[in-house]
Amino acid sequence: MDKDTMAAALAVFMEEARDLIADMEAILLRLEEGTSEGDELPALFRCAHTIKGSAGMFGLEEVVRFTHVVESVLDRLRNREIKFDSDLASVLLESQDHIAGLIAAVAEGTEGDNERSNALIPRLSNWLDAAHAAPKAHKVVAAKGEPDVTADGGGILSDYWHVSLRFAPCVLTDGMDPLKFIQYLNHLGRIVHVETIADNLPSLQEADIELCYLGFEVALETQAGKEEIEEVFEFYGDNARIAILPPHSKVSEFLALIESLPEETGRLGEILVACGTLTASELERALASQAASDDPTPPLLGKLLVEAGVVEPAVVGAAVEKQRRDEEKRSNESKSLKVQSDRLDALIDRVGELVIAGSGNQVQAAKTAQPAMLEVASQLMVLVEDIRDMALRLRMVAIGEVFSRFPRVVRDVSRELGKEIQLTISGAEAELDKSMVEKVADPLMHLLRNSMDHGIEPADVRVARGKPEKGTVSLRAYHESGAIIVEVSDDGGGLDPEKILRKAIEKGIVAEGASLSLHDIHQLILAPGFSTAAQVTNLSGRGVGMDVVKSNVEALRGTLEIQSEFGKGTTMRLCLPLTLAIIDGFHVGVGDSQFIVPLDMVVECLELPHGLDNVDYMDQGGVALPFVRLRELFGERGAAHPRPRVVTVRFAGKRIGLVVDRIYGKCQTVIKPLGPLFQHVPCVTGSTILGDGDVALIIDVPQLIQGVVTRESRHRRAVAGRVTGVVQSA
Amino acid sequence: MSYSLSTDAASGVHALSGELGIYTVPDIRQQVLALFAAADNIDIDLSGVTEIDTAGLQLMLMTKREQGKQVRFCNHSQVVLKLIDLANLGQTLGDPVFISARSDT
Repeated sequence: MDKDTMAAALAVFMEEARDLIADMEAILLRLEEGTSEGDELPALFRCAHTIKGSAGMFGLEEVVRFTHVVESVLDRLRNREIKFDSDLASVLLESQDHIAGLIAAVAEGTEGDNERSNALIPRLSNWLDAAHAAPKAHKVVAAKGEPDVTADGGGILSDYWHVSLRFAPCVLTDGMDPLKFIQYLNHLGRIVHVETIADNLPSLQEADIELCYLGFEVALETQAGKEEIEEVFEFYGDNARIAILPPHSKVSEFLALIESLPEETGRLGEILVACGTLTASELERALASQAASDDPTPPLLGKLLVEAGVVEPAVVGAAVEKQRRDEEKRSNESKSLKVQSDRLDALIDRVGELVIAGSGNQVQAAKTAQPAMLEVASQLMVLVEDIRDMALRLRMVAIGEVFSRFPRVVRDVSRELGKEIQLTISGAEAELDKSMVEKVADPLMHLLRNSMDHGIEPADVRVARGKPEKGTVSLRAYHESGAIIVEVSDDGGGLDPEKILRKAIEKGIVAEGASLSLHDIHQLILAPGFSTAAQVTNLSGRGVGMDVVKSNVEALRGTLEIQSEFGKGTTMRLCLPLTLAIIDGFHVGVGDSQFIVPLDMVVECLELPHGLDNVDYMDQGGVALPFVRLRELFGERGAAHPRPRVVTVRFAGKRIGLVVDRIYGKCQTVIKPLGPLFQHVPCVTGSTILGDGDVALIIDVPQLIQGVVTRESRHRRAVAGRVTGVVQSA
Repeated sequence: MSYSLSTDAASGVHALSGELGIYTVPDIRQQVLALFAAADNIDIDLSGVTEIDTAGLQLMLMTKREQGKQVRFCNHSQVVLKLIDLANLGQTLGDPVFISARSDT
């Protein structure tokens, strides 16, 4: 392999290893909770095994050295030689972290933390006793060529390795040619004999000609070790049944091989003899031992092996389970395709330009007033819209990707805090833009830790309050009007408004004697430098955090809202836009300027009633609807329309009206970020280019609504003749 | 990624040339089936085969096994011989070849 392919292969390995590590973690957590379905131990073992194997391919010795120990422990666990308990879980989780660390170090090109391996290995070794080491030594002897004579048949005479290959039917369409790989074995040594198994070949008419129906049995003379032979077939991964038996393997191992293959036993025996792997008498002996207990109904080979104590029943069961899972995984794999995200970004970028060009085209077509021209233009626009939606959907990933790391966090934190906390997750399948997923993880982590640290009370307090001893933290995601809402809630103590207010006055955030609504008080905890935790733990309580969370969320054009009931619990609601790139917009005009309101938030359009020049609200269906005059907000001086319109917008359960001059209707909006100069212009999130080439500003509805809410409450307070506090408005 | 299967009118031998592999087997199969529909005995000349893989070899085996039909492959090109030799299918296919590692045929 040259350098580039090597680097590419390494990248694939990294990604795969990360997936495997995540799987390991999920399984370990399920095992610890006792919520695992079926027997997951073999899968757990396979994760470690695969990481070790692939790491070996790339010569990552530290990873191999450490993972080998983990693998050995998991092997014993799988074979039911040791029991799973919480101590073992902790060590294994730490080990899994360490493997992740080692692999991350490889990715960054830095040295792995060998000392941590050295510290962990002795701890792991507690689960590896002398009995485990023994069979290993035994194996070495066997491999050296001294036939070991034991009850189950003894070693065979052949000096050759035996490689049994049954490929997945799709191997050919996957672009691999089994015979090429067999030929490659010649590089390792000499191919003594190949037996092609064509027993399952369908007729020419019936066959799916692109599937591989052939199997191969190869006798190989080589000085190479098992790993080197395995490496040749490494790329077939889970898609093949590959058995590699060293010279002088036990007869029982061949029996197991024969049984594992789909062909009939007698036929396989012949093949093995033909390969020169087994001698005729060895075959006879093997089959005789199979027939020895020839009762009226001959027992299945598998059963025989179990009875002879060669294989434990659990292992057979596990093997079946593993196979089933592998198949499921395989069918999933073939449905997805990995694409580099920058390619997708480039695509979306172009689609954005396409959308703009498309609207331009439509505007020009409208000017020609030719029906045929208009028709094709609108047809084109429909297609462009479809492509836009599809392109954006390509970047959508389930938020579960982020959620999946939290069970571990909850476990670790609850141990650290000495609280019993369970995590419930719902709506993990809700999708949002890939770029958002990455950025939302940190704020969520912070909120979750906050809930566990400050929210959930100690067990004795909980019992006194009549709550279950075990606290619950829940994560919930759902879609709402073009946005995704993620809630982090706990059933803990809730926010104490008095305490918060006291603290805020103490810190000078709020003026003495200020009277704030409950909602405003809750928002205070988002102020910089605010913390009410009596104790500063190493998790939270230092008062840096909530303000950072808030600014992180705002950077994503999202909002953070707090809802809490003292003594009952707190819910932090994150509201994020689904995408950062293209939206459906509602085009309005004020004076000479153009504005875009995100269409998802538009409720209805009304006419502004006369005689409301001095007030900021109107009557709408018996309810007061506060409104904002965009003309005043943006200091627009162009000619005003005699009959202004009101566009009602809604966000997070609140409604306001926007007073505009003209309404143009729906349009495609490609969000272009504002330059650094305009980044701090309030109430605007970006700009876009309209079909006719004009620039329009995109209105930040959530911020406007926030502003109106603040304005209203200030107004109320002002009316009540009180001094207004310095409320941190959004 | 191309092949051709043409028939010599005088001898009645079908000459396969080009690639006999995963990309061409679906089409070749259709052509062979068409040949089977017309005749029970078929001679296929493989001297022009430049590439062959597992799928191609598998196709040869299937053709050989077709019930009630006789297929003879002849003039195997080097690549074909090499693969047949590797897979040890010389005997199974049973066609006389010029060079073979197996002295007993």
